[in-house]
Amino acid sequence: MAPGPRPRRLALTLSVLLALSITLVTLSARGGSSVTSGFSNVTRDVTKPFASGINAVLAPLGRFFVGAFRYGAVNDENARLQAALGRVKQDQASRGFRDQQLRELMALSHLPFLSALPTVVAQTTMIDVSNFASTITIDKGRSQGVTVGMPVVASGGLVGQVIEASRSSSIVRLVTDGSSRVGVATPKGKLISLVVGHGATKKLTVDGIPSTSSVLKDQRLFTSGLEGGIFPRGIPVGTVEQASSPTGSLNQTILLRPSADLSHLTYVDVVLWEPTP
Amino acid sequence: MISLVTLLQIALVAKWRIFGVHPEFTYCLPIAAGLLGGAQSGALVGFASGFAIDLYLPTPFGLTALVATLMGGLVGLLIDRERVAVDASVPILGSIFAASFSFLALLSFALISAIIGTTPLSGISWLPLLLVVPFFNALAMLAIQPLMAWSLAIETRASAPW
Repeated sequence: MAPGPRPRRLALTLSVLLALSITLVTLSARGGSSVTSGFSNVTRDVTKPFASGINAVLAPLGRFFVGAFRYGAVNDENARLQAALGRVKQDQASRGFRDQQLRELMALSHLPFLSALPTVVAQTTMIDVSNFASTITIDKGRSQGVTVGMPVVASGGLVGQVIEASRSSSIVRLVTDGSSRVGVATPKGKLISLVVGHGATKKLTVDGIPSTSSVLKDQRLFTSGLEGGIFPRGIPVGTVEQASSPTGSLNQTILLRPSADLSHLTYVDVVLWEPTP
Repeated sequence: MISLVTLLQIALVAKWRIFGVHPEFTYCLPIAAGLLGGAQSGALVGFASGFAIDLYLPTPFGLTALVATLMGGLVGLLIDRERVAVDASVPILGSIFAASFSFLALLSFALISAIIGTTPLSGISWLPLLLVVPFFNALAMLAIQPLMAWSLAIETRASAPW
């Protein structure tokens, strides 16, 4: 072991480093300093080719590692995919009819964002890089018109919201993230509440629904789009999986399954819509 | 070495989902530096490696740097105080330190995140996190410790006056 530095020098080094770290955390946590976010954005843009290169070279190793730990799950998934493929083939025959049904359902469900708002298709480049946040990184950024606050959707519904945008990539906070909050309503706008995320492996919950309100299993909830809201109206957020009223509680406990399939986010749509200040 | 581990962490290790979480090899760097080079090296490597990974993470910028600086400094202080000379070729001590201080680092990170209001404690998968990360960091330490010893030796030679 190297001989240690004198205690005063060591104390000074530790103090300076800790003070610097705390300053950066404070600046970042208090609403995003342009210096810290600028650093991050430039670094992500500059190192994107290196990260992609390493990813391309080492991806087989990663797949081997994941496969070794999830062999049973991979087999199950394969069986499920085979079954799904069979169903898709079967469904092709009645596709025209289903398209018509889909158009009708969309009209019924009030999904104006699909036709009225422009979108940018983005590819997911990273998923959940931190164990403490549910996020994805996409390959579209400011140069493609993507800015902080824009909603991100996939085929099934709301995926999340852009929280950082650099020139050529963006970070999207998923609806399941612990700090995610989405204002929701039923299709007719009768019931308005807040959907809260609890981490990638847990269900969404709906807060503040009184025990007297009737919430049905399999009922779909959509973004409320209230004035000043952070999402446009009518994006499907989730489907009620369980609704119960604990004894003595004034509110219901409601678990929600996200409408979008968050385990398959290879491609997503960024809705070019900014929240009204 | 910090750049290499950071890129590996972001481009590869972050995709290894084991019970929904992935290892965090970044914390192995300050722990190894603290073990082999003392508190000063541990803190400096901790700050640099934490800063590097923070550039990619959605969590508050500087938070990993803060935790990694603390871990590197703590490991170094412990080693300095106990006057233990760590042999880089005997990796078992490094693995034990990697597991225990990674555990401590995760708890510290979660606690500070909750205090500043960015990640509620309920939004964390505690059991897998506190089992998977320390275990895999202990394994990774078997490779990182000798590399860090080599790295620190190079640095010492480069800064020597002769």
